[in-house]
Amino acid sequence: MNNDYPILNNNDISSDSKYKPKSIDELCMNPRKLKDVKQILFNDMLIENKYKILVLTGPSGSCKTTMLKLLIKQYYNENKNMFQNFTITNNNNTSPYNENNCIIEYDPLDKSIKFKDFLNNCKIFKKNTSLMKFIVIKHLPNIYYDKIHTEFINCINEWLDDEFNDLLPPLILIISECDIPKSVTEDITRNNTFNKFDINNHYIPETIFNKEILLHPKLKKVNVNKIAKTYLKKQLTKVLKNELQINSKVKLPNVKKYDSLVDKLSEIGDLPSAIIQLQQYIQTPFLLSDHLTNDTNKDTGLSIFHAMGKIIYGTKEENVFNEDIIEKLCKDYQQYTDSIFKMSLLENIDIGCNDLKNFSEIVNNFSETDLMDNTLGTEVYLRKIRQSMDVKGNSNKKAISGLKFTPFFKVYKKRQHSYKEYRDFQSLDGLVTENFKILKDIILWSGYHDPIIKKFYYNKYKAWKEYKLSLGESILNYNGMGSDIDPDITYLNKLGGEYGSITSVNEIELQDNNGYFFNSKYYTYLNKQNNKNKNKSIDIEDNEMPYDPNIDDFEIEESDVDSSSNSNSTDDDDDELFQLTSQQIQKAQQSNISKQTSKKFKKDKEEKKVNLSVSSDSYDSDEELFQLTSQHIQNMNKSKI
Amino acid sequence: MSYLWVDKYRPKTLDDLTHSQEITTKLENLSSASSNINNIPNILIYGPNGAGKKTRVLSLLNKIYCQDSNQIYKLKIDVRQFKVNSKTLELNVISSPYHIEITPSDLGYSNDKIVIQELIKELGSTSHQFTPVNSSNANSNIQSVKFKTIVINEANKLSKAAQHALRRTIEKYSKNIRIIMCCETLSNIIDPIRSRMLNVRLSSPDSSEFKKIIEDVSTKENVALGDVFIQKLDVLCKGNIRLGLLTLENMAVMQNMDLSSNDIRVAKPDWMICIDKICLLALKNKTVETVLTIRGIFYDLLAHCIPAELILQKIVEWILENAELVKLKQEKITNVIYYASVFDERMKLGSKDIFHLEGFITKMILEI
Repeated sequence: MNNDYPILNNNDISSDSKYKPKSIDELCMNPRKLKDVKQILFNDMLIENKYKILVLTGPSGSCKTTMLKLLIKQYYNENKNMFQNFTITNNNNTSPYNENNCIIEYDPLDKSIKFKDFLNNCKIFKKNTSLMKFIVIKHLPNIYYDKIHTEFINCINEWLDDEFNDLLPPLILIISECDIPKSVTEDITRNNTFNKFDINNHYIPETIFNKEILLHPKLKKVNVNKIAKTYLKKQLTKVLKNELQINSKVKLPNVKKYDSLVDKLSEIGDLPSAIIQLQQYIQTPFLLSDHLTNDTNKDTGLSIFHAMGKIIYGTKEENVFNEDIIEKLCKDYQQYTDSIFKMSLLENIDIGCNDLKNFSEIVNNFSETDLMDNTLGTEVYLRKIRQSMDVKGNSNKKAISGLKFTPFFKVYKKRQHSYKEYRDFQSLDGLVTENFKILKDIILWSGYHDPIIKKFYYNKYKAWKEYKLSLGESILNYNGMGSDIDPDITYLNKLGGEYGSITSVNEIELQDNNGYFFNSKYYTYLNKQNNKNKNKSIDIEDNEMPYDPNIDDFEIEESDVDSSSNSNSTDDDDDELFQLTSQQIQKAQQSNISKQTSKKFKKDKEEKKVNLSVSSDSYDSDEELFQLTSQHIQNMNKSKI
Repeated sequence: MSYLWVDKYRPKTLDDLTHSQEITTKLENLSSASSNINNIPNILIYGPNGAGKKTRVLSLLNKIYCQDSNQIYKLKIDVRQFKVNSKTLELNVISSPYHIEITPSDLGYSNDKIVIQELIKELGSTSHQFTPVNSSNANSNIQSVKFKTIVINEANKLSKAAQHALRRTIEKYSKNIRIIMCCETLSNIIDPIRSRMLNVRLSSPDSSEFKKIIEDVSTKENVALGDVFIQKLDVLCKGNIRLGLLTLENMAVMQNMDLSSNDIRVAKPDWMICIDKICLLALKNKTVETVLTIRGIFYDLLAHCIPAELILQKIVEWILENAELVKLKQEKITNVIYYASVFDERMKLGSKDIFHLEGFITKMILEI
């Protein structure tokens, strides 16, 4: 015992760091969780290569970092021989353990290195070699800034997906979950609420990473609960005794009078915070009892699912009434006024409520409180649910496992997509038909009928074309409709997708705009129009031959190009083509310079043009254009000769 | 070439217009050469969806500016950007040399004021002069038009602030611009606006007029029509010409231009089928599970941008139409409509539509 708590008379050191556990046995931790983490760290990660990343989550002060560091220390001590090389220099230390030698931590304040580079640099600390270090990331880069957030996620993804490198050092991310309360005065408008459930309000894995990362098989997430009351109490009593001994020089101090204080503090569940507060009370004893209020000013990290569970299921504890649950929730889950929370509750009320009448009343209450002041309204519906759930008794409740999260973000995403599609259709249709429709008409009527009708014409034309081609006849003189429909441009499917049903989800799912890409047919059309204006010769060819991926009519196309380019060689076109060719010649020259000596560079123009037509193969993208230009040049050459 | 008969057969001049003749005459008188053309008032035209409000407005403009030479239909679409509180908003502005057309409701409720003011100021501060296209035909009566027209779609969705801004600018720039507003109901338009404009109510075509429109298009496109089809189409469309023609074309191409059979079923837009499904589910099973199923459908309807108010309205309409079929008592119908009105109001005041939709549907299930 004496060794565990060295008496330090230096009061500059706060009790918090003074009493930092020096070995794993002192840790206030559920032994089973400890064993789990140990297993994951040293067996699954190092030996079996099961995971590449461990994410430790939990409320602040629940000993996540301490536990990790102690575990690593123990590991290094046990495997001394492996790492001996590295510990020789540490003469002062009796143990081979030195934090710097086995842990490398990311420091976001160090501006000289980006997170990405940091991770890359860390790759040299290879697993299971004498160089190995554990990478601990406790402080994330500034992910509140979108760009950095995206980069951060990409880095993590890369790390996870690096299939070829099994020797990546173990990476451990520590996340102290917390909710950031928002101001009550914040205006709730329809647009505003969309962004509420995000990293700015909820610092939890779901907002920090995206779903893809969290579900990755190479990533393990371990949640550390807040320190249980009994552990914390034991620890606090120890500290108290020790401190009193120092302060009063009494062998057996009177701990009794601090009992209520220790009791209160141990409810916090946060070790450092509790010790600091304890220290305050000891040093200024008059504060004791009088000023010890309930208000510990601490968010104890009730997550959205915890909070929902509390409301839906209530509690089995004795002497805890609805009143207490509501009160606890109002205090703990500071985001409870969040509309996402309310919508998620809506997904779950059927769990405790099989009677439609009762159900209807709750929903009615939800609807009513939607109009109310946020804080008050929330209290109203929380009480309403609690009350009606209680009346029904415990018999009707289903298994606890199935709490659901609102599909709101799914709906929102789909809505955004449909809206973009409607807008795109509006612009496109307005341009093509010169008949502008308002959005509502498109959503309600045209969005359904228009694509069906066009698809019909298109299919009809396609069938006819295929038939004609199979007979080997020309397909240029089709006089029906549909020949000018381009599936790349025209909307042929129901705008916004077919109707189905959107159901609730089991995990927190957020807006995720990474990799979202909207293909605007309007702009495709505009681009095509622009290209047509630039190259009149292609324009003609295009009208006759709509692009069809199914049919390989390359030969016909080529012969067409011939005729059209010949017939269209007016003066204006010549100028344009000349510009194009001169550009191409420059390109060809550059490639020539890089490839060959300057000898060939000095050859006369005609030779270059020949070069040009040879090198045209390399420019796949502009193949058509190239054929045109090269043919044109040849023509001109002929006329010159 | 236009694929859609709706676009193809849209009347382009006042003379082509088919139904509600008295309103057409009224508009014709306004634009006729005998009166001073620059005395045309601002117009507020309102009436149900698909009755031909826009068609009339464009025909009128066609008459005023180009003497029916269709120049007005040479439209250009620009995406204009407006800066509001460091946010950039985009609005599609459709314009011809003579008029511009905007739908401010696309921007959202709180932003429309700035756009309205900016656009009107821009057009109103310069004077315009348009000489009608055919004036060279020795017709000395034709005057030059000294104003540009702004067409505002969905005017009832303008915020109150925007309407007040509009009211002031109407007076200030009345020399250089005219405003034509289109909307479905007058209920959200503030009184000062109403009193400053010529209110024109355009009703949907009645059954015989609707039938005539459908028949005209069918003859031109060689579609064989049956009475049963027209009747069913009339029931579905309730005078909405756009929906009527779209459905007609859709059905015609699918049925090989033959719609004369007696047991034909009219294709409904898919979201209306969803509404049917919701109502049938509600009637069949009165359990919590039903509500959950319906909620899933609601979410998808909302994801397709179908307005929640419309969903509510269509459900009530369905109940009213099918009340006899499902043997609903009169007082129950009254109750359903009562609930609908309650939740409709809440929906307008609140922020999350799904609560109110669900609230209504549970009440309705319990009631019927």
